[in-house]
Amino acid sequence: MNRALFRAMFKRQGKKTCSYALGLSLYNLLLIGVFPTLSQSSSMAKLSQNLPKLARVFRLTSDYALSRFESFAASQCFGQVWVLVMGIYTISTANELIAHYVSEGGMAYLLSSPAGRLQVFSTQAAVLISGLVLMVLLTELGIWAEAKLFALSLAKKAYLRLGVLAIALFLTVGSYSLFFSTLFNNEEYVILSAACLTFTGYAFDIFSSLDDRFSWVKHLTIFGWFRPQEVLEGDTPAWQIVSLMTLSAAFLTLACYVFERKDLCV
Amino acid sequence: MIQVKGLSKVYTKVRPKNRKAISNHIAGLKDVTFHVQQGEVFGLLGPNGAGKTTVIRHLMGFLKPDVGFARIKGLDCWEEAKEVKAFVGYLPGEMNFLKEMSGLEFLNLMAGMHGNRPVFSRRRDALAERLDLNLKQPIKKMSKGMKQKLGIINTMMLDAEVLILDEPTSGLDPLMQKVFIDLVLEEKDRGKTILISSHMFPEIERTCDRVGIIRAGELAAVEGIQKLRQEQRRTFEITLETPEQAQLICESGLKADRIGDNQVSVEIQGDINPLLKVLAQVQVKDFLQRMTELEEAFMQFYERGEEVEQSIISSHV
Repeated sequence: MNRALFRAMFKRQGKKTCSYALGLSLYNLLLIGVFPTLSQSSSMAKLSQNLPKLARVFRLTSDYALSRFESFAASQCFGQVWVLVMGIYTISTANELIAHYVSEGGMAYLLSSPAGRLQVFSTQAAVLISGLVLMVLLTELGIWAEAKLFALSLAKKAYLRLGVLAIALFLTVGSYSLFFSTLFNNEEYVILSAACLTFTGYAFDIFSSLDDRFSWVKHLTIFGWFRPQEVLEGDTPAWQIVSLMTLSAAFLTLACYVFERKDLCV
Repeated sequence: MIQVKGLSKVYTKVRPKNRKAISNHIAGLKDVTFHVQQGEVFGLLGPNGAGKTTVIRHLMGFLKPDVGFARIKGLDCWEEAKEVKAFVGYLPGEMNFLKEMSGLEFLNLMAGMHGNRPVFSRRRDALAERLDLNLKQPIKKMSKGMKQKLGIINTMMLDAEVLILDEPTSGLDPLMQKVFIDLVLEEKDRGKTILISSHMFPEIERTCDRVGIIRAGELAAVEGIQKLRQEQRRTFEITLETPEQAQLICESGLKADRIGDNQVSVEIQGDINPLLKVLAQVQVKDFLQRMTELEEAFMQFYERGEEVEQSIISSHV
């Protein structure tokens, strides 16, 4: 890894990361603010009983979801908005770190240094990973601070486990996005292929929860391994984390191989 | 110092627009061979798309040659790209910087990536003063010329043994072009090996020892500047007092054509004295050289190439 490049890139990505994290924290603040009202509302409970399929889509799988803040946060934030925002953040950052600099020519400057392609790639990957860790950390810190503000008790260890699982999940998304970023010269292809893979996977996961007959579909997507509600209710997703990390390592190795051997018209 | 031998590159179009096309391959370079001695300034001349940047991309290890090799200081530019960069300063043809930074931040980043030697900041400040560039300005607010200056500072501050400059004066005003030429000549005096790609004749003429003329991916010729000047033809357009005087020049045995009543165009190969002797007998109203000497040599090589191509096409038809 090249320290000078890491500092410069992290400074640039840091602003973006903080803006995303701030947005998510405000959303969480809204959730925490409406939670006491929703948890006491009988009409919400009736809605999930009368329209179970719709409730599943919105991750309201049990009455339990509205009686504890962890379950509510898991269903309303970590199951939906957070995944989408993190997905967009990860794909756009992976594209900016490699494909954007190759297509606009700035990569010529980075590769004209004695750092070499391997070091440039590993630094850019480290920037992406650090950004993901920072995003998860800031989101969880935001929830913790807001819960303190509203005097809600949090299962801190469960949030920590969820954070590690989320980092592993988005590291996988980031590593295949980096792979596409090294594979294609055109930024549009990078974003299109990474977004298709990510959001189709997410759609598969939602589809699999609509009906028990389709539950096998969740095995086709990495999002099937991301069950925030179960983790916040006490599950330890050890094998899911190991599998996602292994997948990430494979994609990063592949991306590095492509980047080291590719002709670059910069 | 720089050695390019039998360098060939074929670009493959992934999606040929014309599906009926026989081949989806485009020749980037064909068997390019030249060398640059230590302390020499070598110019690569050619129009856009001729292959100058492709040669440079091979030297920088951005492209892998299909055939042949490019070496700097005996190191293969593709296989040992990382080691090669330790003694090469590179100015890319496209000024696409990391736009969010200021000029100073960018130069600090590049200095850091090159090992941050104390000499870098000394040279950076001296060059910024000479090129009159405010380094604190954000890159996205810089004009094309200012970005070009920043690129030149980045390349020169590294004090590298070998400088590879791709179209270095594009976007610079004439005053700054002169400053740049002075900088190159100073680096040459310090024993640096320099390769300049350009289609700007004056900078090549004033800085280079030898010139490679590249055309459609092929090196048409490699000649010394002095030799090119001496051997190549020059065309002069002369306006005379009377049509009779113009006729006198046409009948003098020089290669001359009437281009107006009292205007002639004279083509000289090598020695200019025969023309001066004839001009001593007439009254000249205007005298101008149509193109600079090097430009003229360049055009001659191009015309030759096109004639060869035409004859190949005719023989096939």
